[in-house]
Amino acid sequence: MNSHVKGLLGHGVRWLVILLSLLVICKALLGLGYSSLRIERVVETALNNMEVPVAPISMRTKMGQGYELLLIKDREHGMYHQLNVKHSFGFLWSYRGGSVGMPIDSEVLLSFQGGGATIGKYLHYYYVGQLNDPQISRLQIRWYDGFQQEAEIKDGLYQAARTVRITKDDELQSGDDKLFAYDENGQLLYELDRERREIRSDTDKSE
Amino acid sequence: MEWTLLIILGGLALYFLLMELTHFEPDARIKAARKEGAYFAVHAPKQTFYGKSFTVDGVIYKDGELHVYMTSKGIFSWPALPNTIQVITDRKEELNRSSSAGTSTLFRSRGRFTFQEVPEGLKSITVFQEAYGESFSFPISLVKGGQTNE
Repeated sequence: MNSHVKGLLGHGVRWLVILLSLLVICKALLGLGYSSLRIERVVETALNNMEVPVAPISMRTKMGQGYELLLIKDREHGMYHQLNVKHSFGFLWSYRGGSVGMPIDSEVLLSFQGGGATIGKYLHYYYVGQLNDPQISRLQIRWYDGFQQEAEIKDGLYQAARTVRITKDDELQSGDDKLFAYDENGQLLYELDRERREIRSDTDKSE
Repeated sequence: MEWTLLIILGGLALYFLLMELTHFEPDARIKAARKEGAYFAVHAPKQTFYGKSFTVDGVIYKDGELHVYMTSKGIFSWPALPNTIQVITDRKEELNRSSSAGTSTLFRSRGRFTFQEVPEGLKSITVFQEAYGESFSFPISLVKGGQTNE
């Protein structure tokens, strides 16, 4: 009887240690809290870490290689954020950088912000911005290599992303990227590039 | 089965925990400042700012410099400190932050925020931060034998 109780106790202690160990290992492997099973949780952690309020995901664009570009619009505080996340093994989301606290300026009719990163064998490019002209019905990005892509538009913001596999000696190049804004008749309204990144209603309208 | 799990998982966990211990050697500056009477311990309840939960451990105030030591602990949550802090003196002057340093492990995050060109003879300061409606604030006395920053 006594030895039976001792045996059970031994099992209990061993399993407790195993569970505690699992907790430590899970925490260590999940990285700096930037990974989670839920994408919303990853966004929350990233925004909390940057000390900006949590806001809903407005747009999700697949970049390729498991990467997604998220656009978060914080209507209340008049700003938007762009986060890169990676989806691994079909269930784990991880935060992989981004820009936080871009202001939503009602004077800006159209803006063109973007960047790129080399990750492994791939080049990841993206563009985000705001549009504030009801005439704009379609945004098109013409990438440096001539590839044309429609940007996704929602709620006064847009984004587009692209992933290119690196061929020999490829480098990040985006000098010739251009944004074209068309009205519903296909008439070109605005054109932006790396030199000219925004059109404002208070200064640029008269042109 | 049970013993195998215990040894493998327990060993890994022990490895992470040992790394944890070696990360936190006592800061030599605090020890020296304690001797000089320039260290002011703070025992304030922790405050939360954007999901980060932390407290001020103490400050060193001497030679025109102010070092603010902060700690965040979390077993199930991630320990995190504010990215920046602000300090306002009892004369309502704001100090300009010059640098910060810190170490983080699985369960604890510790940071030092250093301010330079700090005026002499301050009686108290307030460490605070505010962003988009969230804020924290720690009042700290710099008087020996006076208020004990409880």
